[in-house]
Amino acid sequence: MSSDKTDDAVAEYLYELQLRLSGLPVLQRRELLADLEAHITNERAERGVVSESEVLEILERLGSPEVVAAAAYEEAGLLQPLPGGRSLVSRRPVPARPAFAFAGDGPPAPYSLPPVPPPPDEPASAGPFPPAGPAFAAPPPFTGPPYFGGMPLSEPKHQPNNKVGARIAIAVALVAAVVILFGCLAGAFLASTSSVQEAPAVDAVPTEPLAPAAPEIGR
Amino acid sequence: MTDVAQLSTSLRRGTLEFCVLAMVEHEDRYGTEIVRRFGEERNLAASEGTIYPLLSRLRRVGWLDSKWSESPTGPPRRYYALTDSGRSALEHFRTEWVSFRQTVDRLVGTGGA
Repeated sequence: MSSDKTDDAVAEYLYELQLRLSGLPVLQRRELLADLEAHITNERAERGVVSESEVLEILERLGSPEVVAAAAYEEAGLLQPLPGGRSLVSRRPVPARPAFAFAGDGPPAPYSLPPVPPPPDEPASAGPFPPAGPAFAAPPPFTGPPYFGGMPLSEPKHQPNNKVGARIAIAVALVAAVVILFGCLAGAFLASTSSVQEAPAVDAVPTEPLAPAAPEIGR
Repeated sequence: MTDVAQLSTSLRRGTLEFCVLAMVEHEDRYGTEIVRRFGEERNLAASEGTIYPLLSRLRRVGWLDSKWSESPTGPPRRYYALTDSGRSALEHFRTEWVSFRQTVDRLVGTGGA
């Protein structure tokens, strides 16, 4: 009888789960942990489970802490926070209000499932939004503590790249235009041996602000 | 493989809760009992731990009641009972489900003619 080891496994499991439930209202969090603890105790008592492998099997059937936590957030109608930069976006990007989703052409349900009631005991840390799917991606890079959001933070690179590319293209085009302008002016200057006045007056204006833009953005 | 899992997840969503309601329609059952019963259904196979958040939501919307009670053999058990609104929700689902199923059968060609 290795009850120490099995108890450790159970405690570790519950602890791992608890870590992932920090975004839930405290009562829901405690409720779930108590339910699971009772479940494990029940299973052990009623199936006469003693060995570590049997206990691990019970835990395995429960599902990993990640899976259980994801279900808890979905059922609570909350977004799952991102601990430690890991992507824990709910796997099921659909609002947690499945009842009558297929209700088709029938009359509206007389008692349609009320939206998940507001969490009673925690600051409104997340709205009634559905869990974020990929469409919710690319928030502005945020620096705060883990919060409810979309995708891993490495994502937003693409868009800036596009913008930078566009800006570089514009800058290059402007520089080219200025060079051509210079060429024309030089040609005009050579051709006419006189009237030098206008040329500098024209090109001095655009070259100043535009030329430095390219190196700065190109990094 | 992923698609298969995704499909059963999608099918489960919106129906599993009524299976839960039906399970406590005639007698109160405790959590482990409900979970165990689902574990026996291969088509519903979900991680058992995900049933508890579902039970919690059904209780919060008032379709289930729960109360802890001592067990003769072991730790206390949390028994779930169907409320009146849960009962009418279940009845409504049954009606909806039959016509829904018939429509799908007809469109998908699974009518079993």
